[in-house]
Amino acid sequence: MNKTIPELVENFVNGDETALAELIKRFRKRIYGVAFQMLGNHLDADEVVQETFVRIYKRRKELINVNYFSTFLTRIATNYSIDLLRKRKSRRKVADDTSTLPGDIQLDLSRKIKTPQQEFENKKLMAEIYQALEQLPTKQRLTLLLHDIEGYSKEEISQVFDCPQATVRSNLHIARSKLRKLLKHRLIT
Amino acid sequence: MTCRHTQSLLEDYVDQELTKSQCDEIDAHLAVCDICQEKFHQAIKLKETLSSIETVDPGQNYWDETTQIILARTAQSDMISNVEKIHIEQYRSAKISFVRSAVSFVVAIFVLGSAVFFGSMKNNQQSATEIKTEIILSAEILEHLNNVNEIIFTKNEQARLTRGMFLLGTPGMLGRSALISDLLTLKE
Repeated sequence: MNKTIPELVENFVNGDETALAELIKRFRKRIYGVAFQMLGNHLDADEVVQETFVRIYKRRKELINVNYFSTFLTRIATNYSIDLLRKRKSRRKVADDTSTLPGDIQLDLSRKIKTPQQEFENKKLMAEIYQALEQLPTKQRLTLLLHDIEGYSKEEISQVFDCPQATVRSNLHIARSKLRKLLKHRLIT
Repeated sequence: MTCRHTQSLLEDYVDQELTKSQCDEIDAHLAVCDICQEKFHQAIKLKETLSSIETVDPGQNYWDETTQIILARTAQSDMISNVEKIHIEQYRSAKISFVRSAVSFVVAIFVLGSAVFFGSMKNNQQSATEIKTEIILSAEILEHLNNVNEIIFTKNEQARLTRGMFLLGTPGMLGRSALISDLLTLKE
């Protein structure tokens, strides 16, 4: 029978290594997704995934007082990603970065691609979206990424950033407004 | 419902966070307002575009490998923290012995310093007495010289003479006499 997250966390805090392996298994894709959306390349996202779980392991005693493991994990991942962004001042260049990655690791639109022309259009749109996202301040961009791309609720985001939900709403509203302006030509119906 | 009110609720409407009655009001407004309808469509299209972005899964091999790396790193971090604990313990004991040595050194210096200080105080008291005697003696000699040789020393010369006697540390009357005779020669 599958254990619940609180049970796994409790076992993990008590030193059960299999519980850690199970937590990694359940949350790795989520963390990878958030990191990839923020940093725009596989290598950085991989680093964030590894570092997040290593940090969680080092801070496992704190987990006793944590209500929501997933938001705590996301907070560590986003904070580390922000650190990476600051340190490296990396500029996301989707087309360049993804072309050099092993395999076919890249962001994509989930719509089914039927023709080379559609694939080309998709990549062009993705590049435009990320260029627009790069122009947003970090907090607004993260809020938008977590809410609209990763599907986090406003409550979860407020826990991740440790701020009121009103701040999340405000950041989201401003980010969307800016993005609508920047992608106006793409959104004309 | 006004355009302003409708547009302020559009995002919540798109996020499906409004009550049924609020949704009905917005629907009614959108049905008759082209501008708000256009904004609504833009908001929907942006949300759809963003939510359709997904990260391509790097594959099971990657996940297996990464999980193993993380587990290895956590085990390693335990080892490192144990080594760190030992280092911290060693550092702490070294620090304690250093502090002990430093305190002993300071105490020793203090005791030695006190001994030297009090010793010199005693010496200083002796020197002060000697100087006082020297000054009295010098004054007597000068007076005598003035009377006997009828040499009048100016006040400045008298001061130099007095100072010279005990600064040069001429011991006893013999030395003083030699110095005085030198000075007398100079005076002549």
